[in-house]
Amino acid sequence: MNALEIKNLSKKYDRFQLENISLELPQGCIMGLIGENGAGKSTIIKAILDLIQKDSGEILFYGQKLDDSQTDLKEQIGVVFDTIHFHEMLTPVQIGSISQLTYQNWNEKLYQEYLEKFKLPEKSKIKDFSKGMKMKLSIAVALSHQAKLLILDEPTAGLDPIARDDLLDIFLDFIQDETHSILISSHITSDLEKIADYITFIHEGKLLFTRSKDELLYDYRIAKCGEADFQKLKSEKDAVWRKMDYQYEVLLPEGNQIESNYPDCQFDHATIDEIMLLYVKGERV
Amino acid sequence: MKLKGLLLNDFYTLKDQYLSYIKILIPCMALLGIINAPEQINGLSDFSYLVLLLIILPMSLMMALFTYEEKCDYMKYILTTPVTRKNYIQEKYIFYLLHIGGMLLLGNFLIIVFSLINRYTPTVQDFQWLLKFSGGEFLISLVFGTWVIALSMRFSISKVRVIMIVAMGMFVGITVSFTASTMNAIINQVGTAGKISGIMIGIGAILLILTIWLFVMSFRWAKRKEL
Repeated sequence: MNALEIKNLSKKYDRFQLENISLELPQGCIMGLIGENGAGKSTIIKAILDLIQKDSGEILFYGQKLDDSQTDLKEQIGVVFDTIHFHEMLTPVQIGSISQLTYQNWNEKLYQEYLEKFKLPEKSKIKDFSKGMKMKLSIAVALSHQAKLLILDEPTAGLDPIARDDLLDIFLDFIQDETHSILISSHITSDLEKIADYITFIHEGKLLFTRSKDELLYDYRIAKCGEADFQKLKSEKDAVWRKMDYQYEVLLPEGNQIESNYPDCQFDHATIDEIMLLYVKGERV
Repeated sequence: MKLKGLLLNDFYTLKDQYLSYIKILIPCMALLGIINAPEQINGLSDFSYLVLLLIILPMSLMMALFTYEEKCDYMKYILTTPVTRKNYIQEKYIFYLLHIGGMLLLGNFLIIVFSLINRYTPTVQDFQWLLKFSGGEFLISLVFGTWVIALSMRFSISKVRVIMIVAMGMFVGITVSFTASTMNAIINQVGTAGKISGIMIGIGAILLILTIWLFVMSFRWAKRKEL
């Protein structure tokens, strides 16, 4: 069963539009949303959460449509944005009291355990917390009401590598339950390489692809070659390239299968960063 | 349950504001009470400015609350929880009503205390006046509070602040110019049913219609608001 299903989502603004986005997040999986700034990742997340009005399309959670009135469905979703949205004068204890009255399935004991695990002082005000502590507090709230789906919008942005690693461990821990799923948008593709099962690439409001991370990392190749090989490589299926100072870089989605046909080229595995870069800046047929 | 959670959040958010108001306003009011205490007290209406001062507070607190919410994008977060847009608006009105009620009680309590300090014992007529006066104050406060809540769903809080200052200024200006009376006369007209002029009724009716329209629109604007 799919935890989340988006069918032909469209949303038009004056200078930007999301065009027919469709994707499926299977239960028990982590899907990473990547794309440059302004590509439409946050707009997709806002549309999923009914924070903006979509022009067309359908969004289903566990087969059910989500709208503002579907409070039972919202109980099953935990959301973390790139900043905490509680007032800075509140303390974790006060946030617990508020959340207890907001969520039917709130588990205060679990929340206290998370506060302890994340070493968050219960009675200190949020304004005194570091960015990492604020994010951990947001995650503690999102995990303490027995959510089945976590939707995370740039949760690791602005964090140091240690804090980021801590958060990624928490997400991996959450996904140990096979009924749980995560949709995470991030610029930091190395984070997604660590935890994601699927990568969805959004570019200028359009969905370029959704692939499994393993497929991306093992099948995709970047060929570095001269003019002669480039002329042959650019006609390979879905090739994307850019001209460097002395050579061409060609991204090949099925590079693992054709590698042996080009003995004079240097083939490397592509990172998600390189894939993103070439799709955004590169040329194609 | 959900409304209780929202109310609790708002009370916690404004906790520091309450303390600031207590620290600043109570000494100011006490000072005013001493300075303005008339030698010959004619009734509780001599202390009506105490309620007028307090009744501005709920509106000011609502604006502070929306400023905080806008700063931390609270509405965007809270709507991802099992709270609907309707719940959100309902709670804001309840929160505001609680504050008007609280401030009126406090204002009336202070009026009686100040009159007793000045060795004036309120009469039955005084209490009747106080009841009418409080009713008038309640309505005016409700009108402007509704505007703040509704307009906050449509505009940024900085724009709402400007609109409210202009609206209140116009309200006072038009009333004063049409009735050619002083602020005291307005207060008395609002408080004393028998003295309400046709112009006051007209202004009141326009305000009431506008307020009802804004109340309805606040739910619509909240429903359409993109976060």
